[in-house]
This record gives sequence, structure tokens and C-alpha cells, in this order.
Amino acid sequence: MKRFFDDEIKDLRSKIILMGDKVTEMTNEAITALIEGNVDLAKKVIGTDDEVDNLEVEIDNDAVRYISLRAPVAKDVRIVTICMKISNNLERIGDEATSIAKRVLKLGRQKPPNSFLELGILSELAVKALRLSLESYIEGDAVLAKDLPGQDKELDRLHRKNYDGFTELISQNSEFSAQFVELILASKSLERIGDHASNIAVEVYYLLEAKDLRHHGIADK
Amino acid sequence: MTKTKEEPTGAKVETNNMSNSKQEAAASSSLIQIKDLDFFYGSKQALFNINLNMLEKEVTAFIGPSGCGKSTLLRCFNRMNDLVDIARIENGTIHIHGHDINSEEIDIIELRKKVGMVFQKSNPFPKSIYENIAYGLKIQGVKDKQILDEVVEKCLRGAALWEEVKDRLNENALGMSGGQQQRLCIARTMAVSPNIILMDEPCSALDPIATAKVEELIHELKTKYTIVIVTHNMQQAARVSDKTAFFYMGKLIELGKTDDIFMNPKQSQTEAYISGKFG
Repeated sequence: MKRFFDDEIKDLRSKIILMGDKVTEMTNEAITALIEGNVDLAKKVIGTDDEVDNLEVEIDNDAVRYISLRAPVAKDVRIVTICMKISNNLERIGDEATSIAKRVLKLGRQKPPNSFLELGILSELAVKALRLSLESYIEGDAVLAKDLPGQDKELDRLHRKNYDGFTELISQNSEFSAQFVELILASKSLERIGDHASNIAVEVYYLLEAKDLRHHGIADK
Repeated sequence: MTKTKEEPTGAKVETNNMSNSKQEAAASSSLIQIKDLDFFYGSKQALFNINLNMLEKEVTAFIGPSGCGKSTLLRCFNRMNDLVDIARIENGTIHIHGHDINSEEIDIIELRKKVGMVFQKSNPFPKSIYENIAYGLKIQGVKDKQILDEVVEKCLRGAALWEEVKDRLNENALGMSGGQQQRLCIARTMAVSPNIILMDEPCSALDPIATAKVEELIHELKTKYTIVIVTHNMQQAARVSDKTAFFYMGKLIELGKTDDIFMNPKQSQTEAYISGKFG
């Protein structure tokens, strides 16, 4: 039986999907701005962050209202609480994209030599992780949600490689040290985007299967 | 909507945060206006200085522990308390559509047509489903079968019951399930074209599925009727109402938008009650 407040859950879901679209676009644009040294695009990314922040607040308010007024149980309570957690992770991804965009403003149009190391492939994997985490939510794909966190190790490895590589470059090209530090921080942001995408997948798995994968499934041990 | 004022106990009656001019404007556009109402059963005062306004086509929920006066106040709106010998309004007024319902000019039968009531326990007449709906019109002198048929169908549809009973309209209403009987009583109330429907614990005897159907019905009915519902079920008040009024020991403690009452009540007593920490 359809309940008159079922649309409120649909609205929450729509807002999560909208927020996911926005942070995916921000992440893609921040990476493009970084690779191309596109300051205007970086400014656009920074300008979008407020929209994402507002959506997070809106989703939290809607979820608290739903919990207060509708007394959800079982899957309904997971749907609503998971919305708050996913929106929090998406907001953090927006922050990381904004952080990359701010690195672009600091780097300006001046690119250091041999500057990108594994940033390209790290970017691809971070965006892919974000896309798949959102896909697992939209499609309700528990298998995808369960597999995704395991893929995060590769992002960690690439970031470590970038860290070591840029540190080495700093010692060889001290005049570019400030730029290389910005790139290390950009690499860290991409790695964190991967972490947040994994967190989203873990929450989606809990939503779908009521099983907690956090901290290697400590809750079920 | 009512004034924020000091209670004799010193507790503030927290209503909406409106300026005086807005409160006056709201009061003048209210369908039900209660002003300074004191109500007694014999020497025992049951309601203390109640000030409350209700707008058209809104659902207002009255909540509070047993004996707090919420059902007494509800029964004031169609003068059901007139049937209790020792009941009396000592002070104050109740206006509906601008008319003082306790004035001598008021025709109680007409008042009760306009202010219908659904009780805690469903009370269909021991007649057919059809007759339960048609009865009110028949005693008003409506004899045209076509009109009666139309009203019966319209009211049963309005109460989300038509599809379930359309093939057994001549069966005795007492053979229906509890949930169906309660919705039949709502349909019966609708047959005499009220403006206001009062509901006194309408779901307390129903299972969760029948309760959900009645709640769904309340949500639909508010597009046409002003509804006042007394309920002990806090979740029900939260789900179905636009405004919620919390009563305690005959006093209106807090009135506000249901969102505000359940998410951020102003009074500690309200918060304690809705979160089950009362007493």
C-alpha cells in the first residue's frame, strides 16, 4: 500500500542523485582544470561548492524531519539514515574537488616539469570509484557496492607513488617545490575522493543488505 | 495563533511566534476560534483559559495524557457536552464561521450537521451499508433514490471504501471489519456535508493496516474538510496533522506547526511527553 508520505523518501533519493551528479561534475572539472591549468574552470568548481553544501543541509533537514514525523522502521530507517551518511560523503568529495581547484589557482598557468606522475591514472580511478558508488546506490546493486571498497588499495598505492615521486622531484628541482607540494596535496585529495566513494559503497551495502562492512565488518564479528 | 500568555502556574503557553497583528489576522480568518474558555464538570475545572484558533482545511491534532481535556475540548465544538448534565462552560466563547455556537440562536441539529464526529469505537447503525450513509439524508427528507444513490457512492468513494463494498451495499454494516466500519462512519459523517470533522481516537481500536488506511483518508479529506483529531498515538499526530496542540491538566501547553512540535518543541513538558519521558 502506498503511503501519502512515500514521496518524501523519493524526494530524498532525488536530492542524493542530484548531489552525486554535482560532485561528479565538480571532480571531473577540477581534474581537467588541474591538467590544463584552467583557472576559469577551477573558479567554476569553487563556485559550485556552496550548492553542494546547501544540498547536504537540505538532505539532513529532510531526513531528520522524516525520522521525527514518520517514525520509520526496518528498511525505511536505513534509507533515511543512509541518505545523511551518503550526503556527508558527497559533501566531503565536493570539498576535495574544491581543494584541487584551489591548488589550480595557486599553480596558476605555470606548470612544473614532469609534473603529473600518476595523477592522470589516479584521477581516472577516483572518478570511476565515485561513479560506481553512485551507480550502486541508484541501481541498488549490492554486489557492486560490496566489491568497490576493495579497489581503494590501488588509489592508495598510486597516491603513495605520487607522494614519493613529487618529494624526489622537490629535492631535484627546488625552485618548483611550492608547485610540487600543491600537486602532492591534489594527489591526496584524489585519494580521499576514492575513500569517500568507498564509504558510500559501504553505506549502500548496509542499505541493501543490512550488513555493516565498516572496519572490515567488525559489527558482525 | 493564540496569544502567548502567562499561565497561572507561570508557564508560558507557547504558540506560533506571530506578532499581535498577525495573530489577530489569523484569528479573523480562522474557522474555529476559541477564546478564554473555562470548562467545568460540576465543581471540577476540566479546561483552563483555552485560546486556540484553527484554520480551514487544516488538520489539528490534540495530544496529551488521559484526562488532560483534549476530548472535552473536542466535544465542545459540536456541543456534545450538552448531553452531560454536570458539564458547563463557565467563561469564554467558541466561534465557528464567526458564529458563537453556544448562543441561544444556534440550532444544535444544524451545528452537528456542519460539525461531524467520528468516535473512538466505530458505531455503524445495525442497518445495511447503504442505509448507514443514506439515513442522515432520509431523516432530512431526501427521498429521491437517484440523489441517495449518488451521495452513497460519493461518500463511500470519499472514504476509500467504495471498491471494497460496492457489490454488497445491502449487507449489514455490522458484518464489516473494524477498519471498514470506522471508514463507513467517516463516510456517514460526510453524507450530511459537514465543514468540520471531529475525530476522537479514530484508530485506537484498529490494526496497523486499517490505521494506515484511515490516516491516508484523513490526508485526502483535508482538501475538503477541517479536521480535528484527538489521538494518543504520537506518530499518528505527527503523520497526519498540520498543527499539533499539547494539553496537560486542562491547559493548552503548546500549539504549533506539527513539524515544530515534533522536531523542536518550545516547552519542556511537550518535549518530555512526545519523547515518552513524562512523569
